[in-house]
Amino acid sequence: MASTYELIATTTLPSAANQITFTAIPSTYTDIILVFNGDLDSITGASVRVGNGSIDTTSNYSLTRIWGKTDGTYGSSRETTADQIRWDYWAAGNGNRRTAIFQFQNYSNTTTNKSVLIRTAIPSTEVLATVGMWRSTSAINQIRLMLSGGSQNYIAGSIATLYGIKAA
Amino acid sequence: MATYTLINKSILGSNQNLISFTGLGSYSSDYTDLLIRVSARGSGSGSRQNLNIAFNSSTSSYTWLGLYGYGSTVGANSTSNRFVGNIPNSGQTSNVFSTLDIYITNFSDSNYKVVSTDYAVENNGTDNFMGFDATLWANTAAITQIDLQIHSSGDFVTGSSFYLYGISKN
Repeated sequence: MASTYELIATTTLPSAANQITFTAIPSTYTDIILVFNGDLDSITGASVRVGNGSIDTTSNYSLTRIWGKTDGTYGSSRETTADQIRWDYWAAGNGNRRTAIFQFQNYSNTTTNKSVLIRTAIPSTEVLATVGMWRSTSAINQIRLMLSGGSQNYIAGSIATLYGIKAA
Repeated sequence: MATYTLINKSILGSNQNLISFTGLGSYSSDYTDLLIRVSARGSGSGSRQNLNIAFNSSTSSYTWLGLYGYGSTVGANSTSNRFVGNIPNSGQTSNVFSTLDIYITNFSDSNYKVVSTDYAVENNGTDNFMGFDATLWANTAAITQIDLQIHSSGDFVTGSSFYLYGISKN
């Protein structure tokens, strides 16, 4: 039986880095899943950008998030003209690895804007569910996990893995 | 090799208090992440209750953070419990079982273990409950055993199912 859930690429950071980029993502899947397990070295600011041929750094992103924190506070917010999709909100690096699962639906079609559902679990800090939008009909063939602050890094040992899901 | 492979399953033919997946150490070279897909219901009273997880038979060094929605209510909570979602109880409409995914990243590495859980307890249009949990086991040991148990009282009822998948990077 053909496998419907396949590894595309995986990266384990040998040293701290401020971004992790997947390029030349094949268009042969219907959806792609990105799983991140790692941490940041300092303040909050984990985010994601995508692109076709190059990463889109302009304000073509929007997002809506719902979040809860360890102190019992919760809320939701949105950004309508963002230049990146944030997938943490309050959580600075705290020594505990965080898990984030990104689901890019129908990522390679050329007729619709692209959506992503992100579930972020940061133990002892916060949980978030975020829906993000890239306002482009181009296929996604690049994804970059990045940090909004220039001096931040993902810590060594952080792992990002990209899977593809076939319809049949 | 398939990237997403069924390792084990338990489909209950009678009520059962504990679900245990053992021998996971033998999978550490094949898989990096684990996913447990749960469709379950509890025999206890009330509408719903938490599901507990235990790694390697340890019941200490856990923290839990949950975000949930319930009708028009939203809330967040954090404790030292070892919760991974909620399942419906006997107070819910008959034949209603949970939708619940437990995702465990890098289960055999030497870092603390992070669990991401999302779930929904649907009750035929009333008393809907859904949420998203982050659970930490502050232990660097590789996970070799996973136990699931209802937090308070009661058993998993007949028809409850637990599927354990390994997710490979090969």
